[in-house]
Amino acid sequence: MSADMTPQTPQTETATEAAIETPAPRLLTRTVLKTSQKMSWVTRIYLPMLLKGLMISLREFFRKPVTFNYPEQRPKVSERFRGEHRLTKDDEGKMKCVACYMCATACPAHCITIEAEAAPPEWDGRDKIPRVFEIDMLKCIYCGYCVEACPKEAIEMTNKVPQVYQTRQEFIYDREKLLAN
Amino acid sequence: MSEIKQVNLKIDGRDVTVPADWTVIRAAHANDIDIPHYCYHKDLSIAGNCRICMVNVKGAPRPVVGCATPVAEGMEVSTMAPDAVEARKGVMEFLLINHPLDCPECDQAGECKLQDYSVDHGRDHGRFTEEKVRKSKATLGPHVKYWGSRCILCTRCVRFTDEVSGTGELGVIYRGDRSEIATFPGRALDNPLSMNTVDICPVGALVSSDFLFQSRVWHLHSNPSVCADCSVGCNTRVDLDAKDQIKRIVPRRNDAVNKEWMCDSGRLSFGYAYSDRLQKPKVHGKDATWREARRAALELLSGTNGSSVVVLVSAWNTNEAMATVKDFVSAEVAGARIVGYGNPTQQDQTFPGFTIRGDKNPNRDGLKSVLGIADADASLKALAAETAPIGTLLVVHNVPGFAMTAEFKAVLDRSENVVLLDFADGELLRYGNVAVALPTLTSFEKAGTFVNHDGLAQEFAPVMEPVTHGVPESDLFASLKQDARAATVSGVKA
Repeated sequence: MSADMTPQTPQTETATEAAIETPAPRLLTRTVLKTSQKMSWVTRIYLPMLLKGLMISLREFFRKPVTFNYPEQRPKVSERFRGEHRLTKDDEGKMKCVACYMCATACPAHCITIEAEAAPPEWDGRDKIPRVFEIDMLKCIYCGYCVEACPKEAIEMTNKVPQVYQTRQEFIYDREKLLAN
Repeated sequence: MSEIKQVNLKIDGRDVTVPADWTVIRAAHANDIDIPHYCYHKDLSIAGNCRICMVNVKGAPRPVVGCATPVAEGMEVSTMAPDAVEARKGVMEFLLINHPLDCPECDQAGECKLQDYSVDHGRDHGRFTEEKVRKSKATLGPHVKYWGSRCILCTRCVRFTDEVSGTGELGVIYRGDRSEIATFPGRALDNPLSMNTVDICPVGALVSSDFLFQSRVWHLHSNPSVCADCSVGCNTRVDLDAKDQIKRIVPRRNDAVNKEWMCDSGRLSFGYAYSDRLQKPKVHGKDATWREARRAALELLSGTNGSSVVVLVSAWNTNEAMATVKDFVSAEVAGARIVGYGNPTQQDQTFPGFTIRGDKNPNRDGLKSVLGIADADASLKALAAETAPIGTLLVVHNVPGFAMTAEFKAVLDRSENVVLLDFADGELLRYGNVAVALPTLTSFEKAGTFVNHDGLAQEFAPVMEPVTHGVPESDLFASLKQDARAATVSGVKA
């Protein structure tokens, strides 16, 4: 290290070593922007730029808007959009869900509440169905892990864009609503 | 045991020394070497029918079953030899041929040996394309249901009813791939130990009716505890759900107490922790604050002359509670008489492999060792026989499902005021002259020690948060003592 980078005379040897290891702080100089010299007077009065900006606003004023009035107007989504859930039914119209809790286990948002009960005795080959199956759509992050986890293909995602309601209670979809979704 | 010779053998390259009458699987398990098993159970006879415990023994022409092969001097066992691994893989495939693979609907999923060993030893996919045999579903008894298709016919349950409960209700009916477990005609699996068959069933064939579809086992968390249902003091594991609600109680192995068994009554005795609880302190039937209630209790206890106070301590209290009662009485109501009581003793229920004690109190021995009450029933009887009125009766109760005896009522009737410490809002509280009721906790919510019929002191910790405003007796008496001292200092002691 050269002496000009450590201007102060070291008092002891250890102080010198410390100074060598950590370089001396750079002098803080006030940066003065000298752009005014480069700008022409046209630029300096700002008026052309102002007008240019206003022209953009004026042009957009007559274009078709990109926004829409959600939720009264619904966005167009693709067929594969992960929207609201649906509980599926088999050929006989019985719900496929066996209340295995795999979706609730996989759910990172903990939005699925299941309570199981025994299936009606006349449902051949089925032991368990959900007595309660609720999804809290406010908690749901629409990741689709529940669909992936389901061993019975009993839950799937529709491309229905999440609905908007007035109360929190309405966002909790129960079994019947999910079956009809 | 000393006359049984020890033999030296090698399992997976490790030298082990075990008694000569052991089998390979027991020697391996005792040395923390895992050999998979379904039909083998340490406390049951050896059946050797599941064939999953295949191991390679040096010199043997083919893999042998570890559960039925006795150890021998110089034997060399390999659990991971290629032929043993291949044999286990084959056994797993055969066991799964007729298995319905209904894990989503099965309560055993998550603690199922078929799942575990399928991952560890099985194939990653099935090759069976033919139609599976479907077997019956049945309700075997009041607490046990049977799913035939899931059964692997290990016969652990059959051996349990033969050897441990000695009731022999179960047998195997039909032959070949149609074999099923069933009760004998006209009989039901209704012995007091029936739910142990659910525990020892390695698959989901026998399931508990009481836990059926209640929860998936991976959503439960477990805490160790000690059963308070009788004086055996079975070591238990209490399984609770995410809301801290007890879902089931299962035995925890302790060869000195209960091996791996437990009675049905003990398993199902957790309802009292949730129903009819005394939520808040009460003074003359009205809800009060702890401060008011403690003051009222102190007035009744120390206001009268110590000789007119009688303290009734039940055999359901922990050693710690009894010790604090004793401490409090000697400090604040010197001269008060301490009397013990408990649930009336019934007949012991003895089975070939287990005894359910008739003494339905977890800590009768504690009364003896802590409070010096040799015979609790006799002490209550003696008190009931007297006629002198009792000023204040302090009852440290905590007995769930207590049936009040005539003697107990006689003592209550003779008491002017009763200070009750109990977790329940029950018959005793409503009986009449209870002036102050202070809520305590059940053994699920507090720590303590019970001394079982054998004189074995077993400590337990709380398994869940208190569901009421109750406090443990030790805290309660400490606060009472503090209040009494504060009252003495400020000079308002009556």
